[in-house]
Amino acid sequence: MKIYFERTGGFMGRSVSTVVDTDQLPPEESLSLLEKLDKADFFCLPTTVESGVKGVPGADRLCYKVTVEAAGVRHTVEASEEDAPEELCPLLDELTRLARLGGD
Amino acid sequence: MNGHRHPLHCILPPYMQREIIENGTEEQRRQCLRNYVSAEAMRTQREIIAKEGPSDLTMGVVSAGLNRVIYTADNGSSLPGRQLRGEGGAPTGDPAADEAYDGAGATYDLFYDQYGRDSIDGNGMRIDSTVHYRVGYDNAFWNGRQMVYGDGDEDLPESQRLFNRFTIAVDIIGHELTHGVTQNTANLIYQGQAGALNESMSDVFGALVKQRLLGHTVIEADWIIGEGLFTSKVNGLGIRSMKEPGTAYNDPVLGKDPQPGHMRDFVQTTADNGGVHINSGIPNRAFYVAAYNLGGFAWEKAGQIWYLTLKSKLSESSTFAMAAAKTYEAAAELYGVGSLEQRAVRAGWAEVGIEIDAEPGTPEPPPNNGNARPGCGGSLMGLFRSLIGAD
Repeated sequence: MKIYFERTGGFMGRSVSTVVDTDQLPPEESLSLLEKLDKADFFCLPTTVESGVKGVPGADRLCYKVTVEAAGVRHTVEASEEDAPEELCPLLDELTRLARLGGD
Repeated sequence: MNGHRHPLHCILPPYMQREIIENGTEEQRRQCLRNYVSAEAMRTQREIIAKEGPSDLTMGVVSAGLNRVIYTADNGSSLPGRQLRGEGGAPTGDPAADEAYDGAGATYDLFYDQYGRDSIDGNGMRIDSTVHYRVGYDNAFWNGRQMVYGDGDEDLPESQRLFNRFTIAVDIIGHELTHGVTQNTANLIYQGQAGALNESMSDVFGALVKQRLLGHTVIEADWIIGEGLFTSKVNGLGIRSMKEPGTAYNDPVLGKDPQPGHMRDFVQTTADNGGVHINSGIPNRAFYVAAYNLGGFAWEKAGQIWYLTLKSKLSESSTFAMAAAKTYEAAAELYGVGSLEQRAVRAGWAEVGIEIDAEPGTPEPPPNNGNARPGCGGSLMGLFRSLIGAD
């Protein structure tokens, strides 16, 4: 399974990204990511996650884009940090950590 | 309604309250008692605040003047978190908390002392800040109600850390608080050119907070946003350069500072809300050049012109061209049509490729030869400054 991750925005407006192939990871790490994907029910999430509250003020928030390819299916989810559903956050945190450690 | 104030909505002397309670109608009695209870609660709250600082039980009553509360999220994500320090409270010894407290105070002082603005909303709004937000959170933000600061890369191995805590640079604190000011004034949409203006206003006033604290003139100031935020592992001065957009950092991990400093290099992108942190380099440089031309302390004339523009002249969807026209207009209001200040503003925007149509009868500024940059020997800006006696 391949996971494409990108985080943009924030105070710096910087892009942080990584591509993860779960087949290439140590088993424990692979399992951790898969469990987080499962918990997020990723393939059922809308492409763009919005809070539904229009015009919510704020600035320097982070934005996430995650694309997962599995079994011939490709699904992308985009969400800002304030709109990301709670179930998605562990996956976003893990992917952010991997991106910060390894980069693109 | 005949326009006179309802007597029970006024502050009544005690003897009159007694009369109403004893002799008034049922409704008058109830209203008087409500007002009495409300007044007593407010008085008690003021006593508590004066003694201990605001608590989580405050009823949202805001008193005019500086009123700061610092919270910690304890590395979680719930806001505002656990209170660490209230207004007038002693330093905590937690660097992030105390920096957030001091930086909020310095930002409040700039807006109040220089521009007459009482806090974020102009009405003494309490200034809430949360530190220690999440783990390894390399960001700071304004969420519409408060400032929030991460600790940077504290979770990574020392050799891989790029960011210190985000309260370490006072201009970052000023930047975030200014987003609140913008929200309560022009309310610039956080997208495209309006969003880049929003970002630029935060960089402008964040920089002015720092310069005022240090007592730096336009020449002494470094015009770097976020100096000190990077660890020693990063090849960079800071996050952004208002003086020379695109030169703040060039690092193997972070990449190169992507900011343009001229409209010809405007970045068309869908990322970052249309590049709000990227294209802010253009109005940032316009402010720097205008301030440089005026000389002295940037928070005085240039800051005054930009504040008046933000407070009273911009709209939600203002573009760079509109901001240029409105700062030019603000300069005329403050210092006169055809004044040196107005011409300095025009030169600032011209330097980044935005021409302002001159008012009839206004003397034309010296031609821009395209190569002159403030700070270079024999530059156009140096000539301008010598002409106006700014040196």
